[in-house]
Amino acid sequence: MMDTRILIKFAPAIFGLLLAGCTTMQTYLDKQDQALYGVLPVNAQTVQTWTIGQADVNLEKTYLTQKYRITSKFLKNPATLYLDTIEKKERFNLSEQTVLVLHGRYGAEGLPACEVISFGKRYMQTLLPAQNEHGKHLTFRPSANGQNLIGAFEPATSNDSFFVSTLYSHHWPLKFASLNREDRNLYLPKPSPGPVIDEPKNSMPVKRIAAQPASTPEKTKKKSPPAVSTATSNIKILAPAPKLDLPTSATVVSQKTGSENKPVLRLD
Amino acid sequence: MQKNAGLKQPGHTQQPLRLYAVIMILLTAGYLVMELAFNASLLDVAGQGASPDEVDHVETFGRCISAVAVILALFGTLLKNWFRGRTSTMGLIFKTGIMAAIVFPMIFFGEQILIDSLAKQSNGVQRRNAYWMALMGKSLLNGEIDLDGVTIGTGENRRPEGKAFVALLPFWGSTIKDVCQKAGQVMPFVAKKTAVRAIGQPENFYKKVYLASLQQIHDLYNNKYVPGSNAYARTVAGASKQADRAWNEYKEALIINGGYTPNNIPWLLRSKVRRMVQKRGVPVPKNWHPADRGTFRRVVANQVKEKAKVYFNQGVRRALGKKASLAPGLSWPLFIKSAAIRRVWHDKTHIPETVALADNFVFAEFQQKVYWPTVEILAKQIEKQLHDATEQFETSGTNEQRGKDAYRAVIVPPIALGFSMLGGIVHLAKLLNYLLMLAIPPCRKNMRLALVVGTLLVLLLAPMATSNAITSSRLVTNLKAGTASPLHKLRGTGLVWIVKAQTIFYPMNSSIRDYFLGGYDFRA
Repeated sequence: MMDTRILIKFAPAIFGLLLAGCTTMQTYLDKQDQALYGVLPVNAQTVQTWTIGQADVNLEKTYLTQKYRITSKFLKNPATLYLDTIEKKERFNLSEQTVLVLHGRYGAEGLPACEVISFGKRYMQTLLPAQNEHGKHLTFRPSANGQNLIGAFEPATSNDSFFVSTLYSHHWPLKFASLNREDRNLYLPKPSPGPVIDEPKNSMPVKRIAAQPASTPEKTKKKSPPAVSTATSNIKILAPAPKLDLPTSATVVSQKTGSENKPVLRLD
Repeated sequence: MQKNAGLKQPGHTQQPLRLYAVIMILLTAGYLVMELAFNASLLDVAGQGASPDEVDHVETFGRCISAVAVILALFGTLLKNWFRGRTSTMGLIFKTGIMAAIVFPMIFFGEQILIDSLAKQSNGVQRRNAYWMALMGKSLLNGEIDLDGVTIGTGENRRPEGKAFVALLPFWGSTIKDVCQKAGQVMPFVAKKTAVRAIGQPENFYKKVYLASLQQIHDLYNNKYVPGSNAYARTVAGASKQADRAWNEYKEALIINGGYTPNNIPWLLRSKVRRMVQKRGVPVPKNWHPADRGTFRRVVANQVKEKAKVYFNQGVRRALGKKASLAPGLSWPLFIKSAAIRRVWHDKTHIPETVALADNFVFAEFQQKVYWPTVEILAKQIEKQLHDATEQFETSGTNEQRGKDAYRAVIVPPIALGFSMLGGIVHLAKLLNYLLMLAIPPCRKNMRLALVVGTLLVLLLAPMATSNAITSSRLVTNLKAGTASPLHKLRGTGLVWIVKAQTIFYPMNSSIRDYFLGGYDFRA
């Protein structure tokens, strides 16, 4: 009884301490998060909500853990985004005004990659024309501050659909964000026109591959880098060097020795 | 035995002595043909700019002939004893065998030991002077420089005294006290010519060194590097697939061992699974989660890449040397410009690393950019060695071996020529002795010996009474006058004697060589 009374007496204090501890921890984690992934160069107001299934989810604070689980407390419909296994595919619907940004950390081991496959088969060829039916690996590039990785898909129609099937990274969690099309210019370099794809037979609108940062033009040439680190995989298959063809006939170029006459040795 | 018993009878002593003389005449004459012909060849070799290897090769014959000369002299005594019945036939054969077995190596190696010990006992000044004069002598022989105060002729047209003088000049010059100062003015020129001789003429160097080495590197690229690099590239490109395969095998193993998938492994079994994966050759980290496909694939892929890199590097080291390192995927232009290949290329060609090499030099460009700069650098190195302090040529100095070799090279011609000529003259006197044994009765032995000794003295001294363009030249006169000590005077006299004697003997020796040996030059 005595113990219960003491507990009730100090309950507000204990509760206060726990609350203070949790707040401090949350602040600490937020700071850690910012230190790890940097601060998005767009403010929260520009981040748009987007629809996944039946629910509106603000992905600003959506995390993927090392276990491929989305653990954010802000996730309203975890069932939709629950990437329990790498095989499980989830659908992301993007509006015409948004882009999907995967926000991760650039590591020495290699780049995170995201396998994105168009939802409907008929879009597959137009959206990812160079790939087979199973989609395409995309490598994300360092952001302007050099710490983060960004990659984007720019949907051309209001009902474009994607799903993320596989995520690879050496640093977890990864952050998704849906950005306003205008605001993403703050985040991404100005998009350059992507390769124009032949319109499919069903006369769907022509799609463009997502704009790539202009700061790394060499990367844009690679349409499908492998998911595993690409640090050494760009070694070319070499062809034998062409036959040497140096002329052997020649004229001897004499060098002046400084004396046209023979030098004379005097020994006496 | 019947014959020997008869020889011991006083009335029959004249006949065996005549036979003995005839046998010795034949043996001595045979020897003389070899000795005199060899002497002519030795003078040709030493006096016409042969390489030290050629001189050494000819000198090997000379030492064999000298050994035969001594064996022949001692055999005469043994044979005489046999004719006089003091030795049995078996005794003669046995003693001759023993004597030859002892004398031949003694003389053959004795001369070599004599030369080596002289080189070993020489001091820094002698070695340095010899090094200078060896280079000077070479340039003189090749007609690249002139010698003031004497006309020695050129090449094949050089007269015997000229050949003898040129052969002896390096040794003679090396005995001059301040020869380095005297020769200093022509040294840069001689150094450059020496460098040219060392690497060969431009066209030869271009074809046989530059183009040949370039072709070798080209072959190395096409036959070894390209296949190796492509194998590496294919392996690396397939690392992702290998990683997938390994992951699938891992999943199958999980199913087989309990029906698990990577995502439903109980917490308690995770470390066991991790160990299993590690045992299967995938070194996943300690905190690896069994469902972490990304790390698993990365580890496998890295392992594949590392193994490929190790094999590639091993191949590079096998082809280029233990410390060589080369990146894969290099195109031919990058390959030929890489540091490892440049190092190998310079090592192959002995072209200094400060001279840049490229794979597209035509001959004219090659000369301007590679050949003459290389000659300049080598010439500077030679000059530096020549101007090194005397201490550097002493024992344990940096130029000790170079100095010893030079000293050996300058003393071999006078020693070889001297021994050969003395051997020839002594055996000429012996031949006369055997001839006189046939003509003069044994009772007049003293008269025969007097004639032989007289002839020997005449043969030795007669050359000194002669004169030729070389020995009467201002240079030789001044060199003789410049020597103060009796030993130096004797040495000078000996050298002059060789020059004068060759004027007389060379034509005869050369004729004997051509007539009896068909012009054999002892170089084969």
